[in-house]
Amino acid sequence: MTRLLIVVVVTALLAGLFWFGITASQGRAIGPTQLGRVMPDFSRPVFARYQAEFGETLSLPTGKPVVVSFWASWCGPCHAQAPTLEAAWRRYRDQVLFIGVNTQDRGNERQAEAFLNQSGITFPNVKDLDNRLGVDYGLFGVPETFFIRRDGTLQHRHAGPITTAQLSAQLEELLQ
Amino acid sequence: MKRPLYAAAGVAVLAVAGWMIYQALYGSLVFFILPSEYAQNPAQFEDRRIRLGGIVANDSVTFDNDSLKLTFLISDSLKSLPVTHHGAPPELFREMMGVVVEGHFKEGGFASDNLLVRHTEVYQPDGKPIDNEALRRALY
Amino acid sequence: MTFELSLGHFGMASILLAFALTIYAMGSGIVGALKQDASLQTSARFAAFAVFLATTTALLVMLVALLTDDFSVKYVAETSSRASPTWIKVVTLWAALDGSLLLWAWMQTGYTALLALVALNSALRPWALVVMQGVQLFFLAVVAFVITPFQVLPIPPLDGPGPNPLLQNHWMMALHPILMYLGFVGLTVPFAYAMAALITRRPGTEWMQPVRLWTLAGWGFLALGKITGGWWSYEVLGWGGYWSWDPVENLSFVPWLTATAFLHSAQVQERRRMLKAWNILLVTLTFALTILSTFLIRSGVLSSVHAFAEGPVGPWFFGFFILVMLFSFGLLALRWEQVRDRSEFDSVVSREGTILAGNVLFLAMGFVVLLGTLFPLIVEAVSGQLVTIGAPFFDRVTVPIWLLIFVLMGIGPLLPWRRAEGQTLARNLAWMVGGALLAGVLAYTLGVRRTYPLLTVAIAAYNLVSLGLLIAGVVRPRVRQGLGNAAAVFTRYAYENRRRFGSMVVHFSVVVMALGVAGSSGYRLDQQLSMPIGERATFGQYELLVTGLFEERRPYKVSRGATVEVFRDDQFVTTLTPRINLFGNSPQPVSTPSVRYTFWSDLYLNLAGTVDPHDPAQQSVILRVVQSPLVAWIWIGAVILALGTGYALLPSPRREPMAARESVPT
Repeated sequence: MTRLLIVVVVTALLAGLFWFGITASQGRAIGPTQLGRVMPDFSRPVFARYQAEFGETLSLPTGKPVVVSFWASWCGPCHAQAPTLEAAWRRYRDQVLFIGVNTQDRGNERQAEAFLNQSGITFPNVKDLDNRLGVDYGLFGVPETFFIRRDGTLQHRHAGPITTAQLSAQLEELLQ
Repeated sequence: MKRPLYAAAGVAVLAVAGWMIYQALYGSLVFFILPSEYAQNPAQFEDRRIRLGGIVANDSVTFDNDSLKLTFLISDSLKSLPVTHHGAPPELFREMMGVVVEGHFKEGGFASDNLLVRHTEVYQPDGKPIDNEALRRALY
Repeated sequence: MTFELSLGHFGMASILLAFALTIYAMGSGIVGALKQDASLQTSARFAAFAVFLATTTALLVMLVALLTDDFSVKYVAETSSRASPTWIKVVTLWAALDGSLLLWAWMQTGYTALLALVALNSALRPWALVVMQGVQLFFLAVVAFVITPFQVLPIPPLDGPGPNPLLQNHWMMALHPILMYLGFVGLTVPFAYAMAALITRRPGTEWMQPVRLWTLAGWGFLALGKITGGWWSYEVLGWGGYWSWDPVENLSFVPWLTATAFLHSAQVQERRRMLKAWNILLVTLTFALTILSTFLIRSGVLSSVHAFAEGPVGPWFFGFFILVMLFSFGLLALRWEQVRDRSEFDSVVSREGTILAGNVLFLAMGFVVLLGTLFPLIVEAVSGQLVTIGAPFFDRVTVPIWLLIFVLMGIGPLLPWRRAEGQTLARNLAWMVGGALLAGVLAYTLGVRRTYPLLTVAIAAYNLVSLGLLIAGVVRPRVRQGLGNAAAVFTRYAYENRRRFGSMVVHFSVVVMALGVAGSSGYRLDQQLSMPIGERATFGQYELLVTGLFEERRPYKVSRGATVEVFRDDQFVTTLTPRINLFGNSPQPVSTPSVRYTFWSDLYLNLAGTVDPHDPAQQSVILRVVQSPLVAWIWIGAVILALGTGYALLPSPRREPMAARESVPT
């Protein structure tokens, strides 16, 4: 009986230690960002179909709020959220610039064009061919959407597909 | 007959081994701290191997291609410290990004021999202090 | 909404079928064992075959999905990519967490089916199968209900991100995980038999006979798995080393240590019917440590450079670990009285004495490695302080233990069972210590001054003399009896005594690897150099010249690198091409070092910083240059270990072995 007790006690101690480990590691997972950083500017080539309206290269505008949305052709949720972004763009295009950034898609030019065809997006999209812009922005993955204020500081970043409600809330705040 | 002898020898060996392990463990503990923790009590962290975590301060990175000397400021919400490291920074090394350096404090700065980039965005906002607790957790 | 049948559905169905059949197999196995019902037991065994068929189907479905770029299957969508070459698509099957668990589950069912097929009928077999199926049930449940790799995506993406670039960079990725899992699963079989022995209250030697080969095979696979992991680190991670005492490395090392201990003490039980409780304890500990290590590695609890993505499986493995602890150790505690030894050793100075001493040392090493690995967690739990335990701790505590093991390895096989005879022992020791001193002095005069390499050389010589004495002890009496000349006698002996000879070969491989480790850790040269293109730079005895930069483009990766010519004494030696690879959709570049392997030392070049062949302003490259003496002998030793283990697994020939009086009993 004593031996059984020893087994139970040792197991309980280990269980306690490892349970602590599990909860501590979950607490350690990347938490929500602190905001207010001035986002790095960039200059990237625009996809051909948008060049007439937006020029050959695009950079962050000054004095105007921007929504920068990172996507890749192979990313399912990016497809899913494209209509949401497009609808918001059509409503806010006079006040907020939407820039789509095609990243992590090296060698997939055909698929990227297909993505744009399928989604029918009319806001400008640029190519991040060497994935550097994603790194500069600290991208976690795609899709990820950055809301940048008029003064160039980061208001919010949303990792994963975004809903209409979340998008509207951020846009309203951008325009204040 | 032989039993007590073996038992005593066994206990002695265990005691010596335990002592050696204890010494080795505590001598090899590498504390993980933020710059402000060092600033609060520098003496506690001198003369031992330390892991220092923080954000690479904006506009603070210099790298000499010939001598391979990298310098930058590592900071948390309260304090910044100068770091020198011998060797090229890894590809993902960026300003305003989390980093952990391992080495020793030396003459008011930190001499690093091991640099690890951490994917974290706990940026320094205007006016509002960073949650240092969140920073610790994100970088460890 | 139309319902389209996808490969994913087949895969899911197969796994669920396997799960259901396992429940049936366990149920009928338990009832069949309790009631001694042969037909139920047979039914359970047939169910084991059916389970294996089902999981094989699932595995093949996933393979087909990967090879045909079927992105409607969740796992394929998350880990594969169209542009990957075929071999990478195959490797993607186990390259990510989810797939590797599917592979593990499949192997587990494979071993269970094999056991059901070949295991001799006994009172233990049905229970051993039940235990195996219990483990299998857990893995199948995790695959079927937690990670669901076969889940069908309603809107399949056009392409996927491709596997982790670190895992695409080297063919070793194809081999290392498979060897590790073959090892872990292989060692589950002795555990299952040990549990069966406790359940049926037959804790004697009976349970060990069926498991000898499984143990040796599992141990061998695990050893090779660890060594190939080291080689993969060496060729991929870019720091020119093969072992860093990282938590992930440590956690899979500890069960191998206990398995090695068990491998040796099993012989004591076989020969002298002793250490029964000890053996059950060891094999149980090995299995518990396997589950513990899997839990800790895949749960994100310990921070490591081998960061596996945190998934939902952590808490599940935690639960399984607690279950295994309570069940197996609890059962052992309850049956302890029936299991523990009542006989005593005749003498410590004997084969069994040295094996037991060796066991203690292996366990001690396992304990300190585990303690060091878990210590940061303990400190955080107790005080909240965040700490790490670095390599110096592990080196400091494991090296003395290892050296003692190395010494025991030489003397143990020479000792007879029961009690050593003083004169023979003294004579053998004299030869061995003499050899050690001679080698030590020789090495010292040749320039080996550091303690650890010097000791290694000395003890290596001591071990080689020991092997020589072993062989002489076998060969000489047979030659004297007129059974042939030395070579013929030796060949015949090796042919007939496969287990014994195999173990000699394995011990020899340990000597070889020890020398490789000593050379590469003691005399390593490691520098970062900024090298202007077109100018020679000196490194140790070499001169390096960067002649230019290059770029290679493939559909799934872009490589940029430098061409470096290597000279020694003004003679051209070789050209090395370290490079940086950028894989399709990942932003993180991975450097591929370029290595010149020789028997004497390796020259290892890795690029640091950036390389841009298209940038005219780039006038120099930064290289990390490492010279590691004798490191190739570690990999050569691994091959010898594999050969020795494989040979020991071969069944012995039917002929009567030569009878002879020997000066050293085998």
